[in-house]
Amino acid sequence: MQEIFARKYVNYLVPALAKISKESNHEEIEKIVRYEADMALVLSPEGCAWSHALKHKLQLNVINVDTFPGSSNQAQKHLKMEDDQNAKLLKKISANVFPNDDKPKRFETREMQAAGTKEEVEIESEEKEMSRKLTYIRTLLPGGSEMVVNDLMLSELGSYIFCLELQVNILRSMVQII
Amino acid sequence: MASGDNDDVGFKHRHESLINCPSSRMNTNPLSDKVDGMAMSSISMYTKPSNASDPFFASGWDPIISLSQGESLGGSSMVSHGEFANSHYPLLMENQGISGASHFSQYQSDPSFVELVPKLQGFGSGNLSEMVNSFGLPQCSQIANSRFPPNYALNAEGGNERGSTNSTQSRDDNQISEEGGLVTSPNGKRRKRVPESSSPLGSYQNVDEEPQKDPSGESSDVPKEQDEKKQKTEQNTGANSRGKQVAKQAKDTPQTGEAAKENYIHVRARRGQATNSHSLAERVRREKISERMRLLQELVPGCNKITGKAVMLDEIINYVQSLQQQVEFLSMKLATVNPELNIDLERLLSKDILHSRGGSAAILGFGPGINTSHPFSPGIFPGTMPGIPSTNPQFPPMPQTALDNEFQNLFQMGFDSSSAMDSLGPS
Repeated sequence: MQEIFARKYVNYLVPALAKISKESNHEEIEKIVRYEADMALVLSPEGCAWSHALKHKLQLNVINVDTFPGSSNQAQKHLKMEDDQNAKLLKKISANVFPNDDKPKRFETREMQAAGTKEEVEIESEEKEMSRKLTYIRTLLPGGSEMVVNDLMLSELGSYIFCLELQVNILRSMVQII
Repeated sequence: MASGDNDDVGFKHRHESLINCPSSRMNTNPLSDKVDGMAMSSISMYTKPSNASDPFFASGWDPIISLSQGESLGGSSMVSHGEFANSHYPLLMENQGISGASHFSQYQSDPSFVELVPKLQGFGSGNLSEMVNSFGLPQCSQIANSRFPPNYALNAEGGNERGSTNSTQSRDDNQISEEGGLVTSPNGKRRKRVPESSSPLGSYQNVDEEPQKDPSGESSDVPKEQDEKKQKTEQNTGANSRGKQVAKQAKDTPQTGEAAKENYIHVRARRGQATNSHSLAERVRREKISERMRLLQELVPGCNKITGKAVMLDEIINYVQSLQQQVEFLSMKLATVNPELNIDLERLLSKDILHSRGGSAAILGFGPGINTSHPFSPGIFPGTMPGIPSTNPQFPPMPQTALDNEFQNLFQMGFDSSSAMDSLGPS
């Protein structure tokens, strides 16, 4: 799995980096490199919801910034073509999950059952804190804010963490080699 | 999880002591006491044994007492048990199928549990004295018969007031009476045994809730009931955090004999619930989420010892943030280096790909969604993640050797490339 990811990632990133015009200024090059790195991350995993969400996000950013070189233009076209697919996939993921905010609801029911003792108050605050953390995690995860907290989201989170690790690994070795 | 294991031990001790203590009480004054009275005495008995289990146990009793008092005990729960168990049967099947079978088989050999079932049912109905009288004596004589259905049938005969509408209530009551029953039964000591503990507990649950289905799917009954009870524990106990731990422990119960006892205890702590289908669905969902959390725990380095979702979520947040920062930093670094070695990049990276990919494959023995442990080794992040323990000793040497080779190649090629670049630069 990781071999496939690594191969795809590097195969995309290296040519993309090579195509970057040397005439661009430093800032643009940085942006481009970051974009390409993320793009490679998007295209490498197979069938992850967050990859589609990230692609969507990158596409929006690309549209906003028109100073990208030709390589990213190709990526833009690719993104636009799959925009509908991304939107559909995100909606599908959201539909498969339970209604929004399962955790807070569950906590609320527990609160109602509780008689209001000290322990229960603490537990309520813990649950609220946990839901806040989960919301924040969903902020970190591309497309996570649209996902409901359930096992699907957590598996997406797991694959995202895994691919991030791979990405960092590859980038680090690239930097060390260059 | 570690906490689960500790709790298991504590519960087991508690359970064992429980068996010893209430024996005298049950025999002497079980009938006259009401449900709450019995519960109170049981609580005092239960709090004797182990300190660890005391708070949980004591608190666990409270909801039971209040529940039994609040709800109509007259109606009683025998019928609802069967109904509830039946309704949850198909759902529970998928969660724990195999473990229940083993427990169940063991249970059959232990007639002592048979006693428990009728007594619990009597408890649920609220007429403890009546139920105990009717169930205790006839069942003692019929203990020899280890089959569940007949025992249950005996219980049914003895306890006419089982038809409670609230299955959860009856379940709780059953748990309470079960403990008492355990004490009174001459084979109460069997409960202490680890191998049998799981079976009696599982069988107990089976008999209690689905006697009719025993021949058909006893094994499935055990896990289901355990799951149901676990769910109830989650939702009904006043201490939600405890409920969570209980749920997680209960999840492991069918797999270990000791766990069965814990599951039994958790069931006691549960409260009645109005809609069983919702609670079941929530329980299933919660199990899935806990399973995913465990996967994430394996993925995030250094989280093996962490217990509790809050801390785990913090770790995940920190880890994801750090990974994203690293990606940004490395991409920036790559951007600065890129224009200088643009042409050589492909050649170097092609070699790098082979080496790093091999290294990555060896290091990252983990796939998304795969339930294996050892994730991405921290060895590759020497500077950025100092606190993360490296559990893969093989990891660090590999990329370094690969990189060393690459560096050597780079130096060799550097001379050629520099000249090449100079020639290409101006053009």
